[in-house]
Amino acid sequence: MKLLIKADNLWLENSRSVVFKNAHIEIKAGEFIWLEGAQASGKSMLMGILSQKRKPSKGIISSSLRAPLCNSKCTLLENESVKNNIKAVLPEKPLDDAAFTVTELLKSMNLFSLRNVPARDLSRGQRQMLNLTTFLALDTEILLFDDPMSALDNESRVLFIQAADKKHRQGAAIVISSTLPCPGICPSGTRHFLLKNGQLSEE
Amino acid sequence: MDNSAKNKLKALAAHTLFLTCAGALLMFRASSGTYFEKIRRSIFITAYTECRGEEELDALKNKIEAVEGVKKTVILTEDEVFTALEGSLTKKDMLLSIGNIKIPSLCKIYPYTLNYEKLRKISDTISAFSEIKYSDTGGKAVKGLFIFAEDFQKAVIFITALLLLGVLSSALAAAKSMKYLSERFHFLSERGIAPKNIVLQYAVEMFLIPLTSLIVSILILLAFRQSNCGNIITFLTAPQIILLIGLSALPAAARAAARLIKSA
Repeated sequence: MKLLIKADNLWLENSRSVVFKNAHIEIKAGEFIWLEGAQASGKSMLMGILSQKRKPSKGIISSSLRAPLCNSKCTLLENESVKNNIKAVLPEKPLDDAAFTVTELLKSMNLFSLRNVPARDLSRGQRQMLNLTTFLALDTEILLFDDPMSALDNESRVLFIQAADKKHRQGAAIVISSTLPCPGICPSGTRHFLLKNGQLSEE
Repeated sequence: MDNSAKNKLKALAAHTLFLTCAGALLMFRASSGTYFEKIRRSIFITAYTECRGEEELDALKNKIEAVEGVKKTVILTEDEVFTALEGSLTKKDMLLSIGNIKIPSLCKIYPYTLNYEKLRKISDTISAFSEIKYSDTGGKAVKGLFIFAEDFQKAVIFITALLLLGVLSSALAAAKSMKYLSERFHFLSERGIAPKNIVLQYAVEMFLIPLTSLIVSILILLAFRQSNCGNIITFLTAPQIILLIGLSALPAAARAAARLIKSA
């Protein structure tokens, strides 16, 4: 399998302390990775480093591509409808294909009834679902989701993991960080990492 | 009408307003400049001298041009004055037959300034020259022209300031109208799409909005010139049109660059 990201001996320090040290991780094409960690354990920072938006204090990170990172800071096209927000990330697809992809994603993420509603009128949970959907619509080899389930109810969490699994079955590597333990509905073969006390370990 | 079409129309309208204001400002400045130049050319001090020799006249010319505020001096010799007056002299032969009449040489002295007091000062200085027999500033008529020129200058400054205000506010509106595009840039950039691909994706939009508004604004300016003041206002010159082309791309480029730099 193609190696997408390789991180060796990553250290991250902030002004107060060492956030994590000696972190090793390899992400290959088509993998499903669950990164578990408590609040303030350094998950978001690690995800930032993996997406190359943040630089580690020490260590080497090599990547053949730019990994999109979905986190709570990501914006939406507030004045555009739910449907148009998803369409905006599908520029190169022919119109019919794009319409089909959008409809499929809207249905799988339970947003179909909201398709013509402007993003600004959505609730927090609905916004988060739309945000996740815009990332799942991307045609990319890897997707990073930083704590995607914090604003979601149980039903939406299941829908998201199912949609992410579908994307993973299409060949994309999926990395999800969460405070929650790896749920049973994750696909078989999911790699489970735990970030605890500044150490990253594979369970 | 969906949001996307509304945004494009808003951007088109704002760009057209901006370019029309900018074009009007350029045209007005150029036209008022031409007008002042015309007034300046029509104001001169006339001086008469009895110097006749070429060397004498050259020396006088240099002496006059050395006076502060004098832009240019034109000297018409006796023969040239005759030639110039030929058409108006119905009884030229009679005049020439009077042997003791000598036509003086004529000096036309053009000032730099459009200030009447300064013109008087130049005239007084020149009148004091021993070679000059008499000088004339044109009397009340020229004084009236100066008053008009001063008032006109004030009006030009006022209109220029208003047009400049219009250009600045419409430029702000044009830049704001491209906000939807910069939001899209940010949205796509957050989703890992390379800046090059984003620019390519919106290149047509970024190119068509300024181009269409440029064409529309030029047509508006042309129609305005033809219908109202074809003889008063000069149309845009080639360098001014090139400047407008540059300005047309400015709001979109500034927005896009700011957003890409911010999200890089």
